[in-house]
Amino acid sequence: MRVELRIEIARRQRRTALACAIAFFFAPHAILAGSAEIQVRDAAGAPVVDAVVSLVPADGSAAPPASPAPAGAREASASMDQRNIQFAPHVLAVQRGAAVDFPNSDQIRHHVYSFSEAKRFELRLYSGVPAEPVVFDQAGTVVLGCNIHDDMIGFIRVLDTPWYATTGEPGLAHIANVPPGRYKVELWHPRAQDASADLVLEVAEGAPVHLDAPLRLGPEPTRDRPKRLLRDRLRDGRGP
Amino acid sequence: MGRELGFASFRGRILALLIGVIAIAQVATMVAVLVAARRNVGAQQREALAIGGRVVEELLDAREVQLLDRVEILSADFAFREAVATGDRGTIGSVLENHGERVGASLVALVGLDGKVIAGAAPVVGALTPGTPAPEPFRSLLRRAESEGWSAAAALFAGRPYQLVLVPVEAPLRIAWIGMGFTIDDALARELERLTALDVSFWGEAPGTEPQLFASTLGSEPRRLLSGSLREHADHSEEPWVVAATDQLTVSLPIGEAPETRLRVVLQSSLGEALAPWRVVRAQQIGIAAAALALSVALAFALSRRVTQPVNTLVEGARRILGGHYDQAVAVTSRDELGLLARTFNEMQFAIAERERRIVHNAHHDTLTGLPNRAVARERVAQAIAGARSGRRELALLALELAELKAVNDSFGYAAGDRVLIELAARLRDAAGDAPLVARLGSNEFLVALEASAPGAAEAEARRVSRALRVPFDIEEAHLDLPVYAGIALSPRHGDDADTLLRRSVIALQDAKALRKDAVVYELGRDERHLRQLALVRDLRHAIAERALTLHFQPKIDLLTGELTQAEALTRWTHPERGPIPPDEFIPLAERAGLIFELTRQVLDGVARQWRTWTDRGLHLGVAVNLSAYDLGRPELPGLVHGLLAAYGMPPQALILELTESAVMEDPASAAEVLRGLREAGLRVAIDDFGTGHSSLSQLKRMPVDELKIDKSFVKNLKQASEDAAIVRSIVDLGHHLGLQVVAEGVEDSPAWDFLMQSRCDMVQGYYVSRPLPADAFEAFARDYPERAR
Repeated sequence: MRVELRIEIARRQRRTALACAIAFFFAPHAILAGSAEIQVRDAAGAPVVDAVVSLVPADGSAAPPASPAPAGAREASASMDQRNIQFAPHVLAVQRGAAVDFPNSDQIRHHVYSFSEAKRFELRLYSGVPAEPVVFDQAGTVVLGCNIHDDMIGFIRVLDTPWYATTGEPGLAHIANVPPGRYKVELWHPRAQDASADLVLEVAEGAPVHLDAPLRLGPEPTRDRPKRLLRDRLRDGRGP
Repeated sequence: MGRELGFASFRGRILALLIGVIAIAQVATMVAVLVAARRNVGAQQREALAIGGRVVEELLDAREVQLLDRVEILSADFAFREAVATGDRGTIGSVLENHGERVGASLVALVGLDGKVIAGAAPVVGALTPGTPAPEPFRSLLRRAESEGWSAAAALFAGRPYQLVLVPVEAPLRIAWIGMGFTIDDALARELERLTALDVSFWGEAPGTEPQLFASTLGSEPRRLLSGSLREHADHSEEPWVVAATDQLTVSLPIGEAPETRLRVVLQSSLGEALAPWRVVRAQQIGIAAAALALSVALAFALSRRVTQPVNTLVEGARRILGGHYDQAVAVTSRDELGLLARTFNEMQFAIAERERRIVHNAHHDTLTGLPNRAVARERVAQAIAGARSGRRELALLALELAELKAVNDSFGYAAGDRVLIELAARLRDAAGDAPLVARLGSNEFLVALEASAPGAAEAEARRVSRALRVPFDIEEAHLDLPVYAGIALSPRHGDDADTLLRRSVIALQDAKALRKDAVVYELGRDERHLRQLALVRDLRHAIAERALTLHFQPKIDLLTGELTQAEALTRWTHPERGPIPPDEFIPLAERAGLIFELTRQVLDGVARQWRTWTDRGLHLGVAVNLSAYDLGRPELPGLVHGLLAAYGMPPQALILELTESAVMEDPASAAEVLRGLREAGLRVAIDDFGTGHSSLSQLKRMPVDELKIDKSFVKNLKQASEDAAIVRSIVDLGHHLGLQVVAEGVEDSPAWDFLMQSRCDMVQGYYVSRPLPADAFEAFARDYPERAR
């Protein structure tokens, strides 16, 4: 239990670092356009980590597609690492058409698969970085699993918009380079109860727009099944 | 008697007590052990059921876990998940069947997260329709699985019992539920039976259906019985019960938890099988009890024998003593009380023997002389006879009598008499030497048995002994010559048994006494006479009492006048069987038997009465009556005579009393006195049978008599110039000189008559005149006589 806790803390620290790196990547565009800062909290008011926040133009106009990847040895636009028998990050948001690398940082092999409709694929037992990244060309949620490690679960959220971010440690998502305009705010989280709140955001040039977004989450899925035995159940049922 | 006592005997009671105690202890122990064992068996059986119940629960749990693991592994199978993820119904159906078979499930259902059946494979067609909500018990399983991540239950589905397991299909998130059912069948029941050693059955109730047995290790008939019993025990209490008509202790435990259905496992333990070891114990117990009882009975027998053996020995000893055998000591040598009793018993036995020996000796011996007495004489005589016979020797038995003992006692005192007897005994012992027997029979009677080997020597020997006694006894400085009479009987000549020989020796003794001879040897035939006399005495007593004797009268003729002046009354006895008995025979018998006085009394009475009769008819006669010597000794005689004379008015002169010469001479002094008295009263006295006795003339001279009757032996053949004639004439002269009348008896012919007439004899009587006649005939004769004489 203590060991798991420690792993969990380490994982969160890594996620924070990753979020900083993404923010830095989008930083040059921020000078040209506006940006948004969305604080996601759950029903209890606690910040929600790993929530994917995306902005869709409220007028229904199509968002610009992702820059087409060069043919041949294509550069992966994102990476879903596997460390310590966990997907890292736990939740990865990409724009449709993105190619994602699945590097294996563990000493053991993994068998990454997805039966999600958005993207079905399978990376048979491998180590290191597979030669080909996986291209996610359909919007939706892709649930990742490892065939030999049932506890490894990861999510890739494939979006039709380039304006998105994943909440970090304090539940804060920074979306930069957003052209000023009126946007629908879409929230996603692996445990989100309602798919999307009816949130609208007005982005202007200059100072970032702040939004508090509430998100109702379901309970943590139980992974460890207590094998309560028949006799115990019988005894309980048989009580006086 | 000891053996017949049975259980009343000491031994019987010891046996009964010991065996009873042991039997009770044995039975009690056996019962206690068996009851405990039986109770233990019952408790063990219940315990076995309880343990079996827990074991079955464990096993079903373990199986459930096993099934769960199996299904989880299956659900985690990549290909399976991939197939399910495809959403293609055909593919899903085939993978369910394929993987269901792989894990051995007979029921497979894939249920969506919305609770609707995606696909299913069940033995019952149509039980799982895709697109419809999952039926029970899957619905219940789903509810639980949603909160717990999995679920399992034993439940009925479509009328069949299953162990059902429901786990999620994760890819990697939960995308569906996979449920699998594993049949609860006979194989499972047998598996459980193998592990619990109990009969296992499964019982289920589904709503709207008849409850029934679904699987069992039982055969068809026990199943039927169990089903019936389970319906009766619908309350399903967990108390064990015994199924009717079987010996199965049964308990029913719930295993299903689905609310709609009830599934129970029924465990049974055969009482018979459980009791099998108990039966072995029981058989052993009974065997042990029987063996112990047999052993204890044997020991009890041995023990009681130890106790009763000496008792029996003592009883035998007591019986020996009872039978008069004192020679054998009781052989009980133990040191206990019985040994002490036996030793005391032996001392008592010897004391009794000694005392009895003394008593017997005293009983068998005369205290004065120390000789054997009458009590043993007979037996000793028998022994002597037997001894002589076996030695082919002759035996002489002497019956001895000291005649004058009374006189010695009277004259010198009893001490003197005793000394004579002691002296006589000493002489007998000396004379008899090693004779088989010298005994004293009575005060003055002795008995001696002598043996002699040579023929005829016994008699000589007996006479020698008799002679040896003829030595005067020195008493009070006087030499007393005391006669000892001896009667001798010889064996085998006179008899070969003790009674005969004794009787004959006594007869000989009586003869010796009568003959006044020292020793008389028994004369053959004498005994028969003796016996006849005994019989006659008996009959005579009777005849006298009955007054059966009659009187005859013989005329006495006065020779001077030729007239019939007197009659001699003679007693006649006609024996009813033997005919007339002569007076010579029965008078001595009457004398010896003490009947003579009574006879004399009757005769006197008869004579007096007859005289009265005749006198009244004008016939005047004197009547003579014979008296015995014994009559003279009777003091009543004078009174009797006087009384009769007075009674019949008879003058004394008419009665003549005749006495034999020997009777008078036996005790001449007292006889003279009596006769004198009678004579002075006027009666006449005659001496009868004169000439045969031993009277001296001086005695005769002093004797107060009136008549002499010459004995007929002198008269019978009286002839001129014979010796008898001289004697008769002398007697007549003697009588006349003494002033006595002389009568001649036995006159049978005229020469005798004539001679007597010439000799001047006074009277005659005899057959020449008349034989004795009955009274009537005599009367007639007397009336006619004067004419006849002319």
